[in-house]
Amino acid sequence: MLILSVFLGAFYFSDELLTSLLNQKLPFAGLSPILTVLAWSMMLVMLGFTFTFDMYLIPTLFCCCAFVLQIMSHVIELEKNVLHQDLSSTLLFSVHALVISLAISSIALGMMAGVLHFLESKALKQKKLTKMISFFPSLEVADRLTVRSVWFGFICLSIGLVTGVYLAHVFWKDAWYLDRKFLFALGTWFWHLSVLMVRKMYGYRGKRFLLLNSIGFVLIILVFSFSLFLQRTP
Amino acid sequence: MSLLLYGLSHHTANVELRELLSFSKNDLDSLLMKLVKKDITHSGFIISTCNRVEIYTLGNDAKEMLHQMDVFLNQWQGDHYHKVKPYFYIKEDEEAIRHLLRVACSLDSMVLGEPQILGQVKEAYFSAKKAQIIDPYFERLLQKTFFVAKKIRHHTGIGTSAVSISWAAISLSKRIFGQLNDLKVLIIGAGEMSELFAKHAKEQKVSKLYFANRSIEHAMELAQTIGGVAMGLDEVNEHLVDADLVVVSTGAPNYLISKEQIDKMNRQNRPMFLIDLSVPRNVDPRINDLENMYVYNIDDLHAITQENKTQREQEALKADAIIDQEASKIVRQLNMMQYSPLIQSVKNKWDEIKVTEMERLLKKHPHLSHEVVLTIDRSFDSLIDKMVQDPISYMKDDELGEYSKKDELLKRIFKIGE
Repeated sequence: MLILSVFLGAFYFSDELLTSLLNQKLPFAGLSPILTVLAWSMMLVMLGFTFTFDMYLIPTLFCCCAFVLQIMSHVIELEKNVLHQDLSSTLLFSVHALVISLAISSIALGMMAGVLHFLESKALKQKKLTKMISFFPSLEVADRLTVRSVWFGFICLSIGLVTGVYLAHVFWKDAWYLDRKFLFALGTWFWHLSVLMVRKMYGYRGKRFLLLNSIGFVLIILVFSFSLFLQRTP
Repeated sequence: MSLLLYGLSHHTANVELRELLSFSKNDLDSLLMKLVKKDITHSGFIISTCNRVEIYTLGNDAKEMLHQMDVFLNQWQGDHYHKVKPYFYIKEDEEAIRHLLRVACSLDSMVLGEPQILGQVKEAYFSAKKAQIIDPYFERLLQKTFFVAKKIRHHTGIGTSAVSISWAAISLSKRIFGQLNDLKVLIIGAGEMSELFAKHAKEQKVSKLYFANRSIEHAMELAQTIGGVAMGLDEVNEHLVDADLVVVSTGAPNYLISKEQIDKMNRQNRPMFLIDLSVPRNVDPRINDLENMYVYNIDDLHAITQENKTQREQEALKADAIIDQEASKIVRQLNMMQYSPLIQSVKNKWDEIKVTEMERLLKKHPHLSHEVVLTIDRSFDSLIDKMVQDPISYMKDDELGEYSKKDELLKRIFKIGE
């Protein structure tokens, strides 16, 4: 029911997106449509990952988050453009915004699976297997989902970084590589690369991987917020 | 028609008594045939397991059937029957149907919710069907019983949680590893518990099974029976690095696997599940403090099985409610089966009247077209179908008296059998 309601909600908001596209205005000019796109990409990531793993708890939790985002995007009254009009109306910017949304959603999914892994592992160690735990995916499945979604998020983040660099080069022209937003985004990309390398080399999973991934998630949310609200370094 | 159940189970007789009356498959077939040949019943089946022997028969008079069965079993089993006779229970009609449902749904089993009993009831059904002593009444009853058993499995959690130590260990392994088919399992000790766990692990198609034991001969014996690789205890450390699931069940007085030993291993943070079934314990419990290591001992597993048993008991209450509901429905449907010959007779009689009337009509009006004749014929059929509904409703209504009285009255009204 929840999944269905989110789909209906997404359908309602897609009307808004289609209207903007038909009016030859790209939908990334305001915060409200950006949140809608984020909710949409969460649904996409959920469909791509969680149903292939044949489980229901994570999609349900993820749908709740997407639903909250959609409500927020509807309630939010901030209609003024948070982005430069010329920048937000290019097709490349749409691609950039979409892949970044996918990266955030994917890393969020990884974090959610990591939290479930942590809780289940703790319950198994303490030998307190409640009814709730029986709805969790097995530790192995939660771990695989965590790693795959972080990998997918990292790939999207890389594409987002490359497109962002190109847009900065075109629109900012001078010394864009010294801008604090770009430097912070680059740092975030390196963090995720390190997390994946650590996993590959030392097989980090469970609590440790969740900690590293959570830091990565906070970083990417900060980059996202800075890109919307911070002015360019003078 | 009466349904009679004559049997004994673990509730009424202990194993020494039950084994006096245990039947092999051939015994069952011949017993069924003898019951039919002796005219004790024309239809029946026998459920015979290690926990129960129950004879279900159908006849006109339950008391007479019981008396004849008693005489027959006395002749057939002699002293053995004499010893167990006081422990037999007798159930009739609806009570017997409810009991059969409870048995098939594993609510009457020694281990509540165990799945084997349904297979054993099916076996009893096939055996009787092969001997051609299952009439439509039992056919319907047993099909409904299988349906209710499936429904209860599906709608309640009666069989979901593990209630044996080895199954609890397997289900915990699934919580950690998901599927078990890629796992390397190391079993230390060659006792009964090790063998039981190895059999369950093999059923789950684990990729490799290693058996380690102080005396390598026993390990080899187990490896040959179940399939796997045997080794001595000195080789355990070498295989511990790769193992995902370790089961220890030996009589050793000290820890065979220590925390320091595991800590030193380079396992790339892969999870390991150690199950210690030994008393005194053979696995250092501090290993549980290490990241991605899970240690369960016999008490932990026992606590899980106890909790699951309590859960099953709660689910059994739900199952009982379903049985109550379904049993009433089944009884009504089976009663209807008894009415159908009478209703059919009424219908046949009216059909005969219809044919006579149609012949008379055609003689009087030979010019009637084929279409008109067909229409009249159909109208007569429709009229008969509507008229027969009243006797059916009368027979169905339990408040209007006993079946036999209603049956007699209808026969008199419609002059059936005269």
